[in-house]
Amino acid sequence: MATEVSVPQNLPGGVLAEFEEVYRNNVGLVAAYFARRCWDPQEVADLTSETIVRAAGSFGAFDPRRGSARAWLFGIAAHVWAGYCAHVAESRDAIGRLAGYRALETTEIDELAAKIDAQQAGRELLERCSMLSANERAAIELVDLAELTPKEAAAALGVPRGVLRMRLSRARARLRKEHCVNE
Amino acid sequence: MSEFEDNLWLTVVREHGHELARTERTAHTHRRASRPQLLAGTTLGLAAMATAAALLLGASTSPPAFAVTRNPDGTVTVNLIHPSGIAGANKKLAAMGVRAQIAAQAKTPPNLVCPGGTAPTITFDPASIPNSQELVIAPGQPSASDTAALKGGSNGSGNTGPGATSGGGNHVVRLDPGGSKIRTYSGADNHVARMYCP
Repeated sequence: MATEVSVPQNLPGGVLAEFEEVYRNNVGLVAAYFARRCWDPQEVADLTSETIVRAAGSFGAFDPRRGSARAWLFGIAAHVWAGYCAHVAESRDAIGRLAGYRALETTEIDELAAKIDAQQAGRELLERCSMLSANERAAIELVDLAELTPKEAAAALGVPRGVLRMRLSRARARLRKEHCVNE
Repeated sequence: MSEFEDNLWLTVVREHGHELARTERTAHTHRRASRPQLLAGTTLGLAAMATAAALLLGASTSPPAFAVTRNPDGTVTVNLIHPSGIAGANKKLAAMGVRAQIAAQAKTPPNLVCPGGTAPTITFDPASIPNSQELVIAPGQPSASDTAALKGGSNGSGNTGPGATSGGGNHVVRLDPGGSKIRTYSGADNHVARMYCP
């Protein structure tokens, strides 16, 4: 009988354990990212699942030197969302391309519906940002809503930090100006 | 963690667990400076030596986090004492070519020791796991509702359900290819079994 025994704290967790840490630290933020964009819990679930499954499939290529795991994950989420929007715009079966993900249980629908409700303020901010360019909107959302640092947001968007800071500063200035005009 | 997030993690483990367990993170290996790498290597080396010494002397200075055992009859027994052993146990199962993975869930208690100091355990027959499927093992003891739900096909251990048969007095979980699942937790398409206290 061959038995393998480990020592608790010192054994390397392996890539699966590493990915689990990334997952647990970020899945809620990724789901919130989609909850600001969708009203249907099933859509939020499918898009979140698509992001996580893609991340699992490419985790071997993730290079921490190029940015944090959170930035990397949000880069994938942005691609998933862009692909989904492109399919919707082309009137193609956007949900169909996410086929393979399971239907939600009632409790999960309730959870995700609550998450969608909780993102109401975020959705309103995004609506206010409609006057901004797509690049500025993305910078505002990642830093002010998704809790990424400017450095992480720059990595997620694939731009230098200086560019990100400039977009952020310009976007905030325009939002402040709009706010003052409205008052 | 919400139920959705727990179920999604089960899906990831089930569909990508083996792939991730075997992934070589080439980029990752370059991220640390040489000094910490040396220290980590030394720590691991010492840990391995401590384990070997403990096994040789029959006395352990720290409790093992897991044990994965291939039994003479081909069945596999997994004992899990601490959640830190999940990754190692999964790695070992993958290395043994066994299509089974322990799925860590948010509700996994920090200390898994059963009353009396024994470790939660499960023994299963890998040969009974259908091709292209995987046995997902939920760590920890069954809840009262789990136990009630599992009684239909129980062998007395509270660990099997319809579609699974007992391997005798040793509480061996065997999947019946023609039957239903051992226990279908919400969102799981594969066979999911929970460990139990011996």
